Parts: sequence; structure tokens; C-alpha cells
Amino acid sequence: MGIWNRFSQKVVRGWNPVSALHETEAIDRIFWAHWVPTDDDVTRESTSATYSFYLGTVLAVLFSILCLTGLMQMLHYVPSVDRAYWSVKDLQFIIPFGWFIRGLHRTSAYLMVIFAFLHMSRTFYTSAFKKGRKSNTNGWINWLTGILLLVLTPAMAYTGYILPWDQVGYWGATIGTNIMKSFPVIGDGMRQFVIGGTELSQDFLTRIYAVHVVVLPLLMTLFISYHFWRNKKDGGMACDDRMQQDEVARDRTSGSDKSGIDTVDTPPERPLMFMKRLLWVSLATAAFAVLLALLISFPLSAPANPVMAENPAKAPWFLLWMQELVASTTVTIGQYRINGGFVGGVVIPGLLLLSLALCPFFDNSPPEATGVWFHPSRLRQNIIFTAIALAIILLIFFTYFCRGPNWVFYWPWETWPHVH
Amino acid sequence: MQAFGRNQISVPRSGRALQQVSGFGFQNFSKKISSVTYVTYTGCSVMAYIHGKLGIKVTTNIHQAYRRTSMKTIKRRDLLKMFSFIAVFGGIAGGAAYAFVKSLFPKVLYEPPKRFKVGAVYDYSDGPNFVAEHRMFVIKEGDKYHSLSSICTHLGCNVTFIKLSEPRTVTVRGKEIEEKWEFHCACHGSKFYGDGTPYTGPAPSPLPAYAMAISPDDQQLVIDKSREVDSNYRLTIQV
Ligand code: FES
Repeated sequence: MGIWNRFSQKVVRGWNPVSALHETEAIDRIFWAHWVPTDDDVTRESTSATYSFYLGTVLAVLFSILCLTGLMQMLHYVPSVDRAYWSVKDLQFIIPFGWFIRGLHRTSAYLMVIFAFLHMSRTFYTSAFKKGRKSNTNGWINWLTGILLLVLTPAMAYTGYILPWDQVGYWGATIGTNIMKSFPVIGDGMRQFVIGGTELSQDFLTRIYAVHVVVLPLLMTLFISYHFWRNKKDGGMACDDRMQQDEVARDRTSGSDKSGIDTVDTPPERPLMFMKRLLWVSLATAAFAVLLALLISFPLSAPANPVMAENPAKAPWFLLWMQELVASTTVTIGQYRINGGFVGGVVIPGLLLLSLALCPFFDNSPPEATGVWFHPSRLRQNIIFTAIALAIILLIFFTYFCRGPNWVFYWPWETWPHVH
Repeated sequence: MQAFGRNQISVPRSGRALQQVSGFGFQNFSKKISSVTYVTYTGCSVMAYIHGKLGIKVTTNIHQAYRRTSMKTIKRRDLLKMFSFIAVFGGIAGGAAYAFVKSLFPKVLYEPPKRFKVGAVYDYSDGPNFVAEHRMFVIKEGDKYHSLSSICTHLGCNVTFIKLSEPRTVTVRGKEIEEKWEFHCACHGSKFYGDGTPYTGPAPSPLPAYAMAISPDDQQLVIDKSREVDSNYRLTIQV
């Protein structure tokens, strides 16, 4: 018996299952396992790695890393326009391993944006968002919660990006709040509400700080918890409907009567095994984030200079597609010119989100498609989704590599002319 | 044990003996069975918990259940109760919410004034002069002065002024003007003619021009950002 087993038997579980069937009681017996779903709650396929790739688990782990590293940074960061930059600089260069904490926070944040996107794609390609036929499967509720989380994630990353009050953060904030201002009629009021005045100053930084460290993490925690709970209640990763039919067939052949003795020949999925798997995924995610944090450095740009933007002034990579949109979607209708900030920054992303949110209600593929990767009946949906996703990814790469000073197009191998 | 049914729950008065116990279900504990029902009688109320796959919990007070089945109309007292509940607690909660939101709009802004001095006339040379502190260009053409904001009308970056190597003639709104400089924005590549009119890039409107004056006390130039003027505005100063 290995050290881990001995330790876990004495300290973690204090109880030793004697058989596979006995082990299903783990959730009642072990505090640490009480939230893990059993075979009774969710379908077996839900715990399959090749179905879900554990993307949600990865995200939850990244979020915990972010909370921890965020807390560590809060002990050093000063949310003041005069000192924010210098406190981040100290964090980077003076505080022991400050660079590592900051790096880990950044990598985890960026990974979280990437994985949120992957997680959403997984759900789309398996059409796990569909409302099941059973009354207790509500895939669409979790899909909507997921969309909320998909918005919250970059919102966290964006507000965090502003906090160092360096050039990229400051101008990112300028552009972001002006996109808000480009909203017709209520735009001005909204911007004033967010920045607490008419110019970016201390009030704005304080607000962004509060939003970044309190409001958004709280909302995140709330919705993540709900997302988990809902998933368990829905019977797992939306393969329930299909599995239900299998189960009925299985029950009929296995001769299981409702007498309390389980005569099904396959043993139920063991919660402890599932716990172990979760642990492995968590450790692997953490290790990956740490490794990236060691390999990538995240330089600070110059301190914020309100009269001179960097040229080119680029948004964080996950917003670059929107930056390209706001730069090229100013349209003229008759004598009116509509600011690209509104079209590319509000209308297009809003429409994309809206169509995502409406997916469950307009997807009329058969129930057999629920929980199946790339089901042939959903070919059209999958192609449209892939096209939009690819367009966004391509726009990000295009803007990252091909936009030079004054937003002029350059090939990636061309050198940029020197400007001011 | 398959005694299971909800159709005939009896409605006893408090303290009376129960006559009929057929809302009483107790199926079995198998993992495969979806629901287990317990019915407990405590005084006058029935509490039924249905556990399992459905995850539904029902708690019923027997008198309420009785009332609900027997009366289709809402009692006036209940309505009044509801209204006063909403009035009192809704009022308190609403008031607090209003106060919270209101606190986010400060009554005083410690921001630079809209009207400010930008130095003496002789500080300026011909052409646009960038006043960084206020993000303004003071443009001098002989004895004529005007001002343009340096805040890009697209999304608020700072435009830089580019001196043209030789003047060129452009048509702005049907009028030919000669320009010696232009304004370019680094952020998304908007470009403005010398008078502030955008001609390429995403900027939707011209750079705003503001009224100017001479301050009576120390003869400094004054810009009034609260008063926007059209692009033909010029302040003439004879020295
Ligand atoms: S802010 Fe000037 S072009 Fe976008």
C-alpha cells in the first residue's frame, strides 16, 4: 500500500471501501467527496475525458489560481494613479518572486480566456446546450450561465489589464470607455457612471479596482457554483437523453427489479476514481500555468501618458478582433456617420452574444444529437459556428501581426518605420 | 412497499386524529429507484419530501392546502398584507438602492475647469501649438487664432499634428482650402485635414473647435471648452 493510500485512509477518508459497490457510498462518507456526483446523478459519459476534456475543471482550477495570485498581488498593489504603476514595478523587480506571482496571474488569466472559449466550443459542437426531453434536463439554463461566464472572463482580464496604469492599460481604458460613450443617447451617462466624472482619473481607477477584486470575482464564484450545481441536476454533460434510452434497455435486460438489490452487471462509476481524476486534471493545469509563467515574461509598458498614446496602441490580444472592428466599421448612412466604436464595439459583439444565447431555442436537431460530437444533423450550425470562431481568431492574428504605426497595414516581416 | 399516492391527502383539524393516511409513500432505497417519499404529521401540517432524481421538496401546511383548494379568490386581507409588505420593505430596499446608485455620481468634480488660460500671445509661433496639459492645439495664423481639440473623435486617442512638406489644396465640404498641416491619430489611423475635418479612418466627426478670448487681467489667451464654435471661427488680435 502506497504512502498516499495510507495517508488518505487515515486522514482524508478515515474509511476503507471494501468493494466497488461499497465505494459508491464515498460521497456520504467523505466530506471532501460530498459534492461529487454519483452514477445516480449524472451519466457515466459525463466523466469521460474524451467527451468533455475536463475543460470546465481546468477553468475552475485557473480561477482558483487567479484568486490566490490576485490576493498575493493585492498585498503589494496600490490603487492610486500616482502609485499604481510604481507598485507594479516594485512587484516585478523588487518583491521576491513578485515577477512570478504577477506572471502566474497573467498566464492563468489568458489561459482562462482561451479555455472559456474552448469550453464554449465543446458545448456547441456536442450540442450540450439543448433542452432535453426529460423535465429535469435544462441544458439551456447552463448554456446561458456559461455565456455570462464567457463575458465575465474577458471582463476580468480587461479590468486587470487597466490596473497597472501603464500606457497600454491607460489607452485601453480610454478606448473602452469611449466605446461606451458611442452608445446613442445614454452613452455619455454610462461613461460618466463608470469613470466617475468626465476624465479618466483616480475615481475611475478606484472603481475598476473594486470591480476587478470584488464585484467580478464574486459574480464569477456565484455563477461557477451555479453552473456546477445545475450540471449535476441536469444529469451531467447533457448526454442524459441518449443515455436514458440505453439505461432503459440495460435495465430491461439485466433484470434489475426495484427491490433495492442492484443486479446490473457493470459496477457504477466510482466517485473516488472520479475525484482522483479531478485531482490529476487540477495538478496538470496548475503545472502548465506555472510552467508558462516561468517561460513568458510580461513587460510593463511606460507609465500612463495622457497626451501621447503608444503608436500603434494595441488592445490586449483577446480584444484585438474588436479593436480591428472598431477601426473599420464606421459607416455613413445618409448624412449620419455612425461611430465604428458603436458598430464594432457594441452592435457586432452584442449580436454575436445574442445569437449564441438563442442557440438552444432555434436548434431543432433531433434528440439523438444531444451530447454527440459533430452530429451530422448539425452540420450547418457547426459550419457557421466554426466560420465565426475562425474569423475572430484570424482577426486577432491579423491585428497582432499586420497592424503597424498609425494602424497601417504591414506584412509581419516588414519593419515598421520609426514614428514620434 | 409500493404504497404511493398523493391523491387523497386528508385534511384534519389541528389536534384531531387522522382519519386517512394515504398520502404516505415509502418506496425503497434502491439506487435505481427514483423517489422516496416520507410523510410526517406534526400537529396540523403535512410535510412531504420527495427526494431522488426529481429533487423536489414539497412542504405543505394542511390548512393552507385546504384553503387553496376551496377558495378561488384572494382575500382582501391577504391583498392588503401583500401591498403593505411591498410598500414597507420595497420602499426601504428601493431607497437604499437609490442612495447607492446616487453615490456613484459625484456632485463636485475635481477636474480641470472648462475655461482656462493657455499663456501669452507671444508664446505661440505660427501653425498649431500643442498645449499638452489641456489636450488642445492653439493655432496661430498671423494675427488670427483658433483652437482645436486634440482628442480624436473616434475613441479618444490623442491626434498628432503632421507638418506637410508643401501646402496642398483640398476640398472640404465643397470648399477649397489650402492646408499646411494635418492631424493623424495613431490608434486606428484616422486622419484629419488642417481644419479638423476627418477624411480617412473611422473618426465620425471633425475635431471640435472652441471659443477663445483674451483675459482682461493679464492678457493671456483663454480657451472656453464649454463653447464649441464652427471651424471658421477666428480670434483676431492686433498687437
Ligand atoms: S481613436 Fe483615433 S482613430 Fe480611433
